[in-house]
Amino acid sequence: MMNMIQACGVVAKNRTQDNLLVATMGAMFIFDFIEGESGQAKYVPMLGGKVGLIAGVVAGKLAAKFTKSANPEAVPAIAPRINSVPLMGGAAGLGLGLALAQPTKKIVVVDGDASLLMELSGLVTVAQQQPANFLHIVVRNGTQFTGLANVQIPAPEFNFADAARNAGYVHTETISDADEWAKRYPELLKMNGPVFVQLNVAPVPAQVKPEFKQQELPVNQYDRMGKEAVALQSWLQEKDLI
Amino acid sequence: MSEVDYSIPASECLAALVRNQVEYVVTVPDWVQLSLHDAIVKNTHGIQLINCCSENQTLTVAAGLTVGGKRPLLMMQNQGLYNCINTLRAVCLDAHIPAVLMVGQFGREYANLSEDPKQSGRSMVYIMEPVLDALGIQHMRLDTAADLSKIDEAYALAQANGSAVVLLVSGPMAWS
Repeated sequence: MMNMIQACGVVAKNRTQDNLLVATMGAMFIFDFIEGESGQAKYVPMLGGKVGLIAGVVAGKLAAKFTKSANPEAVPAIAPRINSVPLMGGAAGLGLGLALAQPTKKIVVVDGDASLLMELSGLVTVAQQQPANFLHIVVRNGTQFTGLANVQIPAPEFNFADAARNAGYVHTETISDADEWAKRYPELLKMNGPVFVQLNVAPVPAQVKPEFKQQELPVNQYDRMGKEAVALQSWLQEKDLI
Repeated sequence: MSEVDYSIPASECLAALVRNQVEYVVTVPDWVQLSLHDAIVKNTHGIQLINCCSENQTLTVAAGLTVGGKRPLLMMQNQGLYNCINTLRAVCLDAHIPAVLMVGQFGREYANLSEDPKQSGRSMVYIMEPVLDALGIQHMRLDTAADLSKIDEAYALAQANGSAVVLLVSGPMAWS
């Protein structure tokens, strides 16, 4: 089974001006670590297991430190990511709205399993609109508060790909192997959607243990979606798409 | 005034939406606004209808449309608004993405139409304005056709403040 770096790394490494990325919290944390200045996780190795997780995070941090842009005010080459945070269940709807508003861009939604369960009927809402430019990925790791407490979700073995197929997505599939995912993703990006992919992913190991002290979450956890919305709008304006 | 005076013609409301350059109506249908829903389904004015399975989805879809440069209207029932308060909080209060919602006061007694809705005997009606006040969300009443200019005001306010504005539709819209 692939790890989170491999799941999100494939998406980051294939980012171009032609796709816009929407993520939920679990994926957001990984993208924050790995995507770097280019947004494309250039220096992040795609290794399996816990070693791969650690190597990915360390490589991402080092790349962020040593590859700072000479002009941080410059418009980024690829569109800023927007995260449905803190708002579980919101990613698919946000992505659908973007897909309808920006039909020349492929919208890639990296959803979480607990998040999608919260608004599972959103699969029907998406499918009813049949957005050809919509690729919906769910990271199924069976847990929420992943990497912290790893609380089991209500249905860890739930088959999201079947649910998406029944809802009316034009293509659905399930992938567990990292190499297959890396090979398949560029093909999935090219397909007419709505396309759905369930990734079976190993959860990031939990941190909690007796006497563990939970730290206060940073302020940007609460206001980042608004800032990201403004940044994405600015990017679209810069490209004359609004 | 009789209850007929509180029945805003759907055609006049639709004209107000067109005037405000609304491109999408994102909805979980509402009993109070059924005639407007029907008029949009017939798609004679170029407004696209997006039916959602929950009111939370109306807010996120509308947010995506807005970020992507389109102008949506959200249409739902009072019960639906209660259902999506957390999404309203995230999208409009925290992320400051503007939204205009037309919310039907389902359950409002015809005898209450000329009274203060807080005097209604139905909780879904009488708690609405206090709930919106508690949330810090601006709201206005659409009682009669003369109030339709408030739609223009709502879009201007939502955009200026980066927040939600709720238009409360008092009585069932007329099928005309």
